[in-house]
Amino acid sequence: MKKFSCFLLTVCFLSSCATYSDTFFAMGTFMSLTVYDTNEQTAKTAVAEIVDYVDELEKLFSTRLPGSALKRFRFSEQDFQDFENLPAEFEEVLALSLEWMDKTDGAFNVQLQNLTSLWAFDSDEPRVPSDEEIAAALSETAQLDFGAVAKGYAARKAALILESHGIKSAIINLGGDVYIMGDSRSVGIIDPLEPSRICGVLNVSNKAVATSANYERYFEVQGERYHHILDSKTGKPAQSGIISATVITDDPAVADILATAFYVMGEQKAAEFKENFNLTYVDYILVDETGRQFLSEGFSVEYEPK
Amino acid sequence: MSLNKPVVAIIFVLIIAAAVVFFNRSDAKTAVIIQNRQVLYKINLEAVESEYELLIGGDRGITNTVTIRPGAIGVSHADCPDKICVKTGFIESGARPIICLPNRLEVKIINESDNNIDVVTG
Repeated sequence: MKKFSCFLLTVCFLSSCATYSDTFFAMGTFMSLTVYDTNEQTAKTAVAEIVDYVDELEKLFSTRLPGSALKRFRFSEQDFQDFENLPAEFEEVLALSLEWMDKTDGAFNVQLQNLTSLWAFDSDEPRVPSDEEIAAALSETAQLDFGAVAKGYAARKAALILESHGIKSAIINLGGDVYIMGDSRSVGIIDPLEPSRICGVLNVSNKAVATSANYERYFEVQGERYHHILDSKTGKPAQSGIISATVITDDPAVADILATAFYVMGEQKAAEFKENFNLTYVDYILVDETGRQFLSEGFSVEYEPK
Repeated sequence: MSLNKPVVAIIFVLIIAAAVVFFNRSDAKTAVIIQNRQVLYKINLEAVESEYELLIGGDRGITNTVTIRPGAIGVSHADCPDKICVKTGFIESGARPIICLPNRLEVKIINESDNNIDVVTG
């Protein structure tokens, strides 16, 4: 019996209990996958499939690639009639986005591409546009930008691919959109006031965790910080008093969407929103400008603030 | 008091095993610099005595200046458009990596987990 268990342990060590991890560039960010307790070949095959799949998604959702489905899509009657001819993934993300845009009263918004270009956040020379320019951009025909949902959606799909290969334990991290599959893991939340530190640690299993925060994509003019999360009501960076919003829920796409929405809404509105829509399956952690943390009503996840 | 041979042998083996595990612990704080999925540098940050710099170029015409200090590493200068890597500041643990998307660069500290955190969000 002893010999047998030794043998099992050895086999486990050599073949099947390995941890496999890989980091690659996709959708304008680093995507890293860590797969546990799987033999290397299975892990490699699954990860390769995800790399290819995410690449395909990028071709659909890119705001940069000229031929992307997103670039070609307009909110015209014709395009809506052709809805069924759109790739299934595009249709799914569009439908999901429109649903949450409506529910959140535009706090989450996929029609701000004109504004984002106006502020030029990702260029060499971001700038503060005039009120006239903002008004003009808001009145133009909306162009789509799935930036606040695409990564979450990709994480959802990546989890399904891992599952289809029989993988039960993994960490999917798409530039901060995290999905913990299987065994419980600790997820650190970056301190928005001091980004080289963390301000809390979650312990979760089979949950998605997504954060929207102000400390990465921003620029400063005369001491004022302009970050990239725009409020569709004003056309300017959201100023809700919240500088980091983390959402914990089952679906990575919904986590991604609500992180942005809660950032824009602020503490009060986020609490009302969760109650009004009876989102018992959604937990959140909001951090304000002074570093104060607000946990959602009935917070159900293991969490230790630091 | 006399111990029988098998017991002595087992204790001896256990002591050796413990010693091997103990001395092989790679707990030195190590930074890795990765570009395009390739590890460019592996640096033991505990062995750094004085500050020095590494220039990381690439096929995109961007250069990052990585500064290595005793126990810490950071990107001190970059000519990429967003400068997210510089804004991240110096890191001292594996709590979060430094990333320069335009230059496909990742700088992170391994085997120094901050409260055993598996992954970070933000």
